[in-house]
Amino acid sequence: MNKVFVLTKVLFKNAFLASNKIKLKNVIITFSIVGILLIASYVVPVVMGIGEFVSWLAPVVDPSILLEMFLPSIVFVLFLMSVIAIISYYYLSTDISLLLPMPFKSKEILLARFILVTLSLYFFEFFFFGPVLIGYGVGSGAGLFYYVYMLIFLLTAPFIPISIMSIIITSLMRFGNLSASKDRFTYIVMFLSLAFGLGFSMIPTTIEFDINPAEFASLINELQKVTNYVVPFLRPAINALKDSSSFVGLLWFILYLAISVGVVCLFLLVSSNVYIKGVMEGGNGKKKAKRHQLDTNKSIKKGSAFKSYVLKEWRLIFRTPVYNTNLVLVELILVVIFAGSFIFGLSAEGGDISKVIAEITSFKLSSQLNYVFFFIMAGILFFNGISLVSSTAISREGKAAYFMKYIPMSPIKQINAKIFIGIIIHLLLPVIALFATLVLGVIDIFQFFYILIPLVLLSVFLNYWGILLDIAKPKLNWDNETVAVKQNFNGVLFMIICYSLAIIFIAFALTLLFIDNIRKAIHGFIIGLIPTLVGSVLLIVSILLILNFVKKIKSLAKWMILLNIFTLLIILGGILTFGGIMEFVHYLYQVNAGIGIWSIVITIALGLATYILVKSISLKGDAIFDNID
Amino acid sequence: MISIKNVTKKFGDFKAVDGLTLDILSGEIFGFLGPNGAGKTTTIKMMTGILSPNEGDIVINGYSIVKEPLEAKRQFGFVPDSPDLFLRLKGIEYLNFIGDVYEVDSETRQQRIMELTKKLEIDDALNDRLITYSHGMRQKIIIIGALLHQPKVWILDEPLTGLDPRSSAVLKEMMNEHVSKGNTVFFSTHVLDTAEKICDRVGIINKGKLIFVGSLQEMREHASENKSLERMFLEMTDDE
Repeated sequence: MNKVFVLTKVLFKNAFLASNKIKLKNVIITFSIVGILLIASYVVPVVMGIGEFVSWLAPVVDPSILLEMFLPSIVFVLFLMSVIAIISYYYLSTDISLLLPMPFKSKEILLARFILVTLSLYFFEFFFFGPVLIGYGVGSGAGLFYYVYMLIFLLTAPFIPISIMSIIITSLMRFGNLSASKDRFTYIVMFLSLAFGLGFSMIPTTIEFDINPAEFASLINELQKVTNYVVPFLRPAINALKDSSSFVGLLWFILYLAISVGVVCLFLLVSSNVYIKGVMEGGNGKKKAKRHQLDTNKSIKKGSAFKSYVLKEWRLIFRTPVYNTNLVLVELILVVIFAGSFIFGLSAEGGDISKVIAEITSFKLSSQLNYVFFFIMAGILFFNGISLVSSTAISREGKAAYFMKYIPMSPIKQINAKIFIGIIIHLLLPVIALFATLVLGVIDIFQFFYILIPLVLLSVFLNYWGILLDIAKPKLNWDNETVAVKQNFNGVLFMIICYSLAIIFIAFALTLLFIDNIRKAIHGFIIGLIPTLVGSVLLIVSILLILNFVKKIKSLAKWMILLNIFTLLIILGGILTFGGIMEFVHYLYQVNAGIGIWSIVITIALGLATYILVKSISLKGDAIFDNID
Repeated sequence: MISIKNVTKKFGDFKAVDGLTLDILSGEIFGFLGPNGAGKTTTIKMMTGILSPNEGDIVINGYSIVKEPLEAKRQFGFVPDSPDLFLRLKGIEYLNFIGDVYEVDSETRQQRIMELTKKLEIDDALNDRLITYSHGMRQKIIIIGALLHQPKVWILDEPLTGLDPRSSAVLKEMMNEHVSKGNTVFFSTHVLDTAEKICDRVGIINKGKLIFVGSLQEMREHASENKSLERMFLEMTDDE
């Protein structure tokens, strides 16, 4: 057991703590900010929403039936997520060639890997499902035992999915000759996740508040039957959480824990016999690989360096399962959920799609509804925050990142090629959605461009922003690709920035939405004066500081972070100044700025900020890559 | 030719390379020797633009790597010590990418790839991903990539590591052929035997300082008697 502990500790440090050379203090500060943002934007609304839903359901149906839905969902998601984690930690970690010759038992290596996979799933599990279960507890007025069971359940929930999937995967790798096609196997899981995303998109339409509770109860009863067949081991856990206050509940919970531990033991027993051999087969598989013939005339051709670089980036992302799932699939799942909800939403209306389309097309976006514009921008920012293509672009190069420094291609050109894919992935869904609204007649061609142009600029700006974060402190020293994207602090930072900016845009939107009320409460001159003053000071000071510090600051990380902050302030300053000026115009002439004018203003602000970013990077020259070695 | 002028590289207070001055002439194979941690890789990293020197300059074929980095980088082909680059690309995709970055035209590219892959015997693996290659095969594809744009200067960091004896012999022959046309080869190695056989001159670096530059004959004279290269190397780099 001692060996397992030592091994786990080393593997954990290697996988999770391979540093970005970031100080602990900064990590704590950032995580506190993320924590507050997440609690405000996700945890509190979910806890309150679910709590309200439970109390709404209570008079009609026993709300505990909701647990029938939540727990299997948690386990199902954990099943899917565990597959990629298992393949990645069990088979793709390069440390295996160091561990094999050491005097570790197969069981010890497996258990250490098992713990690592469990830890890697905790964040997602606690973040997404913790608030749901807490919300249920709050809504149903559960006692202390419920929360204790809930916590232990969340801690142990990954055990059974990981154990079962580990047994299947280790056996397949050993007997199914899958070692040579780990990538293909991961892709199958990806498509399964997509299918799950589609299934998930049906849920929001079924739990609308206006559905009949009796119908809902019968739906849940059906679900209960399915649960009993598909995930029977969850029954004791569900019963324990239902009866958390009674002694029977405790017995159920002990039974659940006993089953979980039993399954883990079974996994160790079965997999320890096949794991090491499966790993060794993988090694042999490489050498036996069949060679494929090449048509040299067709394959060897000159192309542009930029295009070739973009293609290289794309191939590496697309062919590396960890990158593909984390950078592309996440966005695709969102597309599927988005499109799925739309289609299922339509069919929920009685299946008459033409009726719903008619309903949508009857809505026309008025150019005076300027706040909608800011809501759209905020939505884009929330969406872009998830995509980490650019904010991990340097880290993904790993120990080979020095390559970027010896090829005869300027840093700015390489940066442009790297962010190109990030921009495409950011824009794919929003542009399709925008185009759809144009076709459906919700927006006209002018509005289409009013939204499209700032949207493209916003994406370009954010991708430069993201890659600068990663250039400042790249995480290059890793043995497992997962580390570069999933345990990369720069990705988290990027997400925070996007979400903070989104919140600011929402604040703008709300201000515009309630501007009439504000005008009644505060004198028009003051509403104009304050943002104009604050905005123009921000704008001027930021530009002056950038012009001043670009040449002076020696620490590259500081230089980039300050550049990022000031360019952001330029955008905010620009918007505030213009907003203030428009209030003066309104005060004098009773005219409001519509979507078109706001679009031009934001385009100018974003364009200016992006230009300054690019110009500063270009001026820095080769030194921009100084933190990469 | 390569001209290293009074180059210093510091990491904090530690001087990894200390006032290094060295000229590598056209038409010679120059072996760069030194114990582990002596400053060999740091020097190579500065020559190739991966690290920037704190002091001094390095000029390659008339272009300063500090002042005109892009032009300087076009002058050399570089083989790093680890061949694990872009493992999920196919061999041919890697070579095409390098060809595009160095702007090699289609015809030259085709002819070079065919010639070099045949010579190093990996022409049948070009359509496979690098991840399926052995260490030696990866080393070969990196060497081919580095030589694709026909650079006058070759900078090779431990190029023979992992190569089978036949490929190793081919590469040595290629190095000889290259310098016979008035070009330059600079390579670092741990294998003293290799240095003894193919280098026109060697440089020995220890603790960041160049302690010897010259031909093997001069080195023997320097060491005052007829000793093996290994013996001389150990004496010169002895920490006492």
